[in-house]
Amino acid sequence: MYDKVIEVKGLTKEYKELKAVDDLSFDVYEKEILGLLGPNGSGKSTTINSILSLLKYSSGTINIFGKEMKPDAYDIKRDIGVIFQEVAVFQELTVYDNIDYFCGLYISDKNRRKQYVEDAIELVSIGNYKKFYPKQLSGGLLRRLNIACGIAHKPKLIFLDEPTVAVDPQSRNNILEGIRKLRDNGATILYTTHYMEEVEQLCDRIIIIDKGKIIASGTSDSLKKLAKIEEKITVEIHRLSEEFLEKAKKLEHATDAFYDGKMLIVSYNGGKNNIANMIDFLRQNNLSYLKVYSERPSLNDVFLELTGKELRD
Amino acid sequence: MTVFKAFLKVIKKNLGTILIYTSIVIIFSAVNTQAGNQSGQFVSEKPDIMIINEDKGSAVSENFEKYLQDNANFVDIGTDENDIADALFYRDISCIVTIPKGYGKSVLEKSPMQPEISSTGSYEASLTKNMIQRYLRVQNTYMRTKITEDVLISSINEALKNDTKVVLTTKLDTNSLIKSANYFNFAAYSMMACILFIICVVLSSFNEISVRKRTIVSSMNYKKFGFNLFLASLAYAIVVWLFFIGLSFVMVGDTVLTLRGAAFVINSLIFSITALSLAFMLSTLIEEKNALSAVVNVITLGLSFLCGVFVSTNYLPDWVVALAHIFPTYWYVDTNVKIATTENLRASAMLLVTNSLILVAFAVVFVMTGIIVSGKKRKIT
Repeated sequence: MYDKVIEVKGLTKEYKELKAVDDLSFDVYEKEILGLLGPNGSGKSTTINSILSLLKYSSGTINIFGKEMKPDAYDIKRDIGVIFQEVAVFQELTVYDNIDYFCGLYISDKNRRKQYVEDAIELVSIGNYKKFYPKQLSGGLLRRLNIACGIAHKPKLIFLDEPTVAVDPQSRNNILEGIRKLRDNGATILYTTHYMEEVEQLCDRIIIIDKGKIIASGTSDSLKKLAKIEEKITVEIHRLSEEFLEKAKKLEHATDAFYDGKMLIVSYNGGKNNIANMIDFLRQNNLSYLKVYSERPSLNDVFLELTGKELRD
Repeated sequence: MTVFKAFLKVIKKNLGTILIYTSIVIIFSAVNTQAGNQSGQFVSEKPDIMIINEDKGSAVSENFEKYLQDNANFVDIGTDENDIADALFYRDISCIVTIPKGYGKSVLEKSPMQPEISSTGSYEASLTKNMIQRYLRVQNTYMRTKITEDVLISSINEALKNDTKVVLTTKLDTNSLIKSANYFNFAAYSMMACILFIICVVLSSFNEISVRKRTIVSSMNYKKFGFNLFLASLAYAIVVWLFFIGLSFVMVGDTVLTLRGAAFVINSLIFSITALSLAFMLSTLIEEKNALSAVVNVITLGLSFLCGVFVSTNYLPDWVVALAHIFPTYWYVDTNVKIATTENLRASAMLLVTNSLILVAFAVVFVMTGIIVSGKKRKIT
């Protein structure tokens, strides 16, 4: 096991009556990507802001690199990079100058900084836009610039707070690829998002958070076991009577089924030929359908199982 | 150095705005320099008039006509009535004086006829009327005594020969000083605009919440960062001030190297610092960066008009001048006017120092307000 890079114990942040973060405890280990997954307003950003001493928290302890994190802990901050949800750049500076400025807040040596800025530009693949101003960049490129500004000084610990919000799929893949490279280069990453696909693709471990509390944690596979289903079969079907829905619920290994007017979704716990059985069921009952596909349970199913609501509610 | 360099780069991006404000002061000052040298000397004005003498042949009437010709510019329009009416209408002449037939005889008979005057009602026409009244008073005084026509005419001319002596009591070169005061007053607008706009734009960029968060989480000491920002702002304000001082050598160079010139320069330095502190306060108050330009324009133009930068406070309504006392620009302009018009500068030093202290007090209030507001905003919620 690697060393603990972040240790959070009993972290609580209260706003008058509201507990935004409620007795949160977790560790982040060296060279891992830890995903903090939760719906909007679940307390992810409050947790990150508290860890970074941007917020004064109500109680708890936070250690980074084995030392207590405080607003003036500049020796700790030297090895931290942060990419906030909002794009934090100067509109008046070019892409290169922006990265150079934010890198300059950590690295004073001009030659070293020059190399670091070039490395950051290469990492997020914005070499063709060095002389562009932010307002000349697309949303995806702007996000990549935002990331370059946060990691140019080669930090050992990186916080990414929803870095892919409002980004097109191609840019999102670029960003996720860049994050993997950072981890491969030795960085420890704390990644918050409400996109479950991203944490599944990217994170070594996942913490699911809701209403300021940790409701589950573990690897993607271990979490999915909490969903108590092994397979989900979805059928695109335009018309389905209550009678046939009830029949679907009684299929072999089926645990539940529901129909939303367009899709019939049947959950299974076990069984090896569920999709073939489903097609037989549709044919035998002369039900015309458009598409049938099978999925493994997702983190959304885990969240649904644990909280009774969808992750994206 | 990182903060300082970024500061300069943001300024560079706004160089166009600085050039616009600088051009304004150069144009204003150039126009002011061309405005002529009329202070410090007295020149009697001569109105443009037309004289119609219907009493030709009378020595008394001709003497009156000659007096008018000597003291006014005689414009010959001809005898056509329409031409004469047009000349009056288009103000080619300010009035028409008609000496009626029999005027000379009526004077000698001690029952003088009145000359007819048709006027535009202008200032020049009033001057002509005063001139005629003066002549008639003297003529009527001598007319009552038993003297001959020749003696009457020579007595009138002798009496009218004595012009009023105008003695200017000031020893100041008021023309140059007023021009210098005007230059430094106009510079108040441009200096304030350059300092307010740029500092507000730059500080609001650095204070933008996402950028500020990134700065706070960085390893740069936040107090050191703030101090660097302050030094960069101060350096910029000093450069702007030096530029306008340099420009003053071109525009009003003859005054700047005198004691009064030094007073103008010191006053403008204090004003620059006050403008800098106002910029600091505004940058903490204004959240919306896009609104900056409008707010800065309203403040700089508003203060300039209210406080006598563009129009002297002598021409402003009393309530406006009373209101202007609560703005620093008023005290800056007031000091410039005092420097230009006070006879004994050393004796008035206390007045000037008081005005300067008021400007410093404004600066302190602006800085304190800025510190309080930015302190509250530093908390990221």
